[in-house]
Amino acid sequence: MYRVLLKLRKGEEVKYLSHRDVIRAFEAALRRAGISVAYSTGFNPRPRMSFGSALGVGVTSDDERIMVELSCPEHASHITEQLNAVMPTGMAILSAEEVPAEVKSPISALNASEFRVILRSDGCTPEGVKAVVEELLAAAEIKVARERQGRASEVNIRPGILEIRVSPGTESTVLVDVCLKTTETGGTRIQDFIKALEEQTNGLVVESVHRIRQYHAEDT
Amino acid sequence: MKKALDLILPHVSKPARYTGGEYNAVTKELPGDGIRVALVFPDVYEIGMSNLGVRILYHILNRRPDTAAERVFAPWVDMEAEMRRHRMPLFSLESHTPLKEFDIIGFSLGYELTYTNVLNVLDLAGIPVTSSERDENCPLVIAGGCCTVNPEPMADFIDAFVIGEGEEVINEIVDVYKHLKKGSRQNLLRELARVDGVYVPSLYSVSYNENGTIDKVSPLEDGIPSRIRKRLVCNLDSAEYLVAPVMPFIETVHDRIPLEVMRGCTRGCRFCQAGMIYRPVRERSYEKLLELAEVLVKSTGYDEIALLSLSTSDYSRIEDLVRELTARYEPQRIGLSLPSIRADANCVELAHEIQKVRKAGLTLAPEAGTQRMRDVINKNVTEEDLLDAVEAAFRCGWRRVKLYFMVGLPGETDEDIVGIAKLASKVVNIGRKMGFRPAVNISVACLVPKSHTPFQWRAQDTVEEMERKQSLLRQNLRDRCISLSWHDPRISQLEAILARGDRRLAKAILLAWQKGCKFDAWDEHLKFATWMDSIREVGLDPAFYANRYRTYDEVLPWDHIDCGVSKKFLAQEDHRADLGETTPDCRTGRCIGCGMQGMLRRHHQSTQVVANVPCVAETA
Repeated sequence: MYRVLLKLRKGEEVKYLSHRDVIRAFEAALRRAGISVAYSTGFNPRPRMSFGSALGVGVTSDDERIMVELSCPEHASHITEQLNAVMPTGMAILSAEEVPAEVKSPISALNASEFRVILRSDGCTPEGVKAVVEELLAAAEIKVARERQGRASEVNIRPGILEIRVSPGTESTVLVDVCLKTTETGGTRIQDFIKALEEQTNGLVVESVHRIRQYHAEDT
Repeated sequence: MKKALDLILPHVSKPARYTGGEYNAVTKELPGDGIRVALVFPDVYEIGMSNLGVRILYHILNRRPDTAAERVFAPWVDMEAEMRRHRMPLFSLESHTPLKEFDIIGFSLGYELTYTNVLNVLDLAGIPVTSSERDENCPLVIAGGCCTVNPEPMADFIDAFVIGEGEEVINEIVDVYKHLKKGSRQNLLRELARVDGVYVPSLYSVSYNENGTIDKVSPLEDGIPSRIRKRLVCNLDSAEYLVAPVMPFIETVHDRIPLEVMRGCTRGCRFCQAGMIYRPVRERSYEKLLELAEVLVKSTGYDEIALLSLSTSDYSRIEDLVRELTARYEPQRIGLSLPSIRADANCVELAHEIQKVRKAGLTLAPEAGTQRMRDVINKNVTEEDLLDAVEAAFRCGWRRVKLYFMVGLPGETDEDIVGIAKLASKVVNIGRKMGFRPAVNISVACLVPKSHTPFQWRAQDTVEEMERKQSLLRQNLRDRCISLSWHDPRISQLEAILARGDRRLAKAILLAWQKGCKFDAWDEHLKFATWMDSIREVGLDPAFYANRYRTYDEVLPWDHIDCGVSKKFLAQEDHRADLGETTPDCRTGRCIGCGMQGMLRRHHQSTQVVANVPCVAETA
């Protein structure tokens, strides 16, 4: 078994794709590139791949991770080149590395993400946002309403927040850099964080949401 | 536009429907006098992107250095609401250009229940919906697709219809447009009407008899053909086909390589419009298909190749083709599928053969429950064929089969309805005998008599009668292995009205749309009562179109549209249906005189090819 770990960009052009759509587009690119992926066995064989935490619709990223198992060895640099030649505009392989078979999937070790949320400064000030953020961090619980398949529920997003930094951006923007846990249980979705922010600030306009990196945070 | 979209798209479902930017999408710079064509499929993206015709035309137009074709689909209701709220005009996916700025807007009309969406699309683009309100500042609005064999109900909205296959005529239309775009709209339409296969409805007048039927349809000017002959592509090998189709990001109805193996069908099922209007049968050569498959596998990255046609198992080298494609692509994990196969054991085994990569469901279409009914519709499948097919399927490992039936067929009795249940039970019993409980799904549609078919004169059952038959069938289906799904009879009724309507119906379509009808094919959006009211409000009677038995000497609204199959032949077939007599497939027997020979002879004369060609195009 040969494994490569790829880092994928999900750019502005493809930001409205769902996590599933990104996977499908990536799979089609693999076939166009003629890269021989290993398949699962069974009734409906699937390419053997694993992904990092799902990225929401509307969010861009410079660090989507994909682990692909290959049926024959190929150089990581070769794969990058082959794939980038047949990628849709907005998607690109940023780096690739071969992963020895004995190494545990590095993707499963990723449990946190750093996001950059850009706010339009005509709806807020850096000081105002800072105050709201401090208030949020001071609270024991941050409840956010969620709706899934028509059913309403409430989640507490406070335990999933690791760190928030607010800084002035350009003249017209305010930057919020936020680190969130992305584990299955106890993780916080960036959309829910933004919702909490919006609920505390009138007239907030979100210009963009971007995942800067995925990483391993200790003690989560 | 991008900024404006960013305000809207986070609030709509499936925003990737509206962004474009897919792999193989074509964005290009045009010379100053270049022609911009918007290809519009008047339903949602997922459905439109599965349409082969639109994808072929997109490719053909974008090959021209002087033309750019871009795609437009009907926005779903949530997107429409946002667009109207933000006063955002409908735009193309490739360059996000407002539809109004295009030179030509070409609609694909494949289903009558998208007609209100056509009006809605024009309105969302800020373009007047009726042709008479549009001037030189508006795009030329044309339409093609199988619905145009009876274009009349849409006559008020479409400037010019293309009748038949579009691969060649689309270029001729662009050429005429390019030449005359600076002149008057009237002059442009007049010249378009002279192009073979193009119908400009405003250049014809229709007069009516006192009983509401048509007296005659006549051209208003000299030099305009009194009958419009459909276009057909003689040789599929030399016809343009897809090279690098756009790869949708989101899941669509059919995510696979569409490999059209042949066009036309000579089986002669009497209800089937496609089987009549796409004659003659033309096959792509085995070599050409292998070549196309290779190109498309490389350019798309799809993991399935669908062998498309009206009856793929009739392709003369189907076994060779399946064997070779399997040998080439199985190692790459690219599967094959046969969406349309005959209900017999050989075909089922063939379908099994191709399932090496991925397992799919099996669908068979006996269409009717009794032999008498199958003879009436000329479905040359016997009960033995079907049961053998099912046995073969179970032997090959399928445990679930789907059976298609139709009700409302001519001369149908309650016994024929009960016959569907009996046949389904026999299918279940085959499985039981083999030691398992199969899942048998029965899907029942209601006959929609269509123009250019032997049943074009027939009355459709009323909605009440269709519902009665539905409950009769349900009462007779007691087996838990059998599940039943039923097409909404109201949708079938509306389809029947529009499919055989005349141009007076255009007023009803307009009114229905003004009252909020759109996405009529979607159960949750169909406003049937509003539709019926609209038809009555403009002084028409729904039953006149749907439930009336027409006589053979009546002038039908589509008589001036020549699809090659003669009215005499259709009447003969309709009569044989009454007698319960079948007509053999002319591919294996003698010529049955459907009229295609005559059209081909005229076609070849006009293109200076030697006459006397066989009706079934010979294959390599």
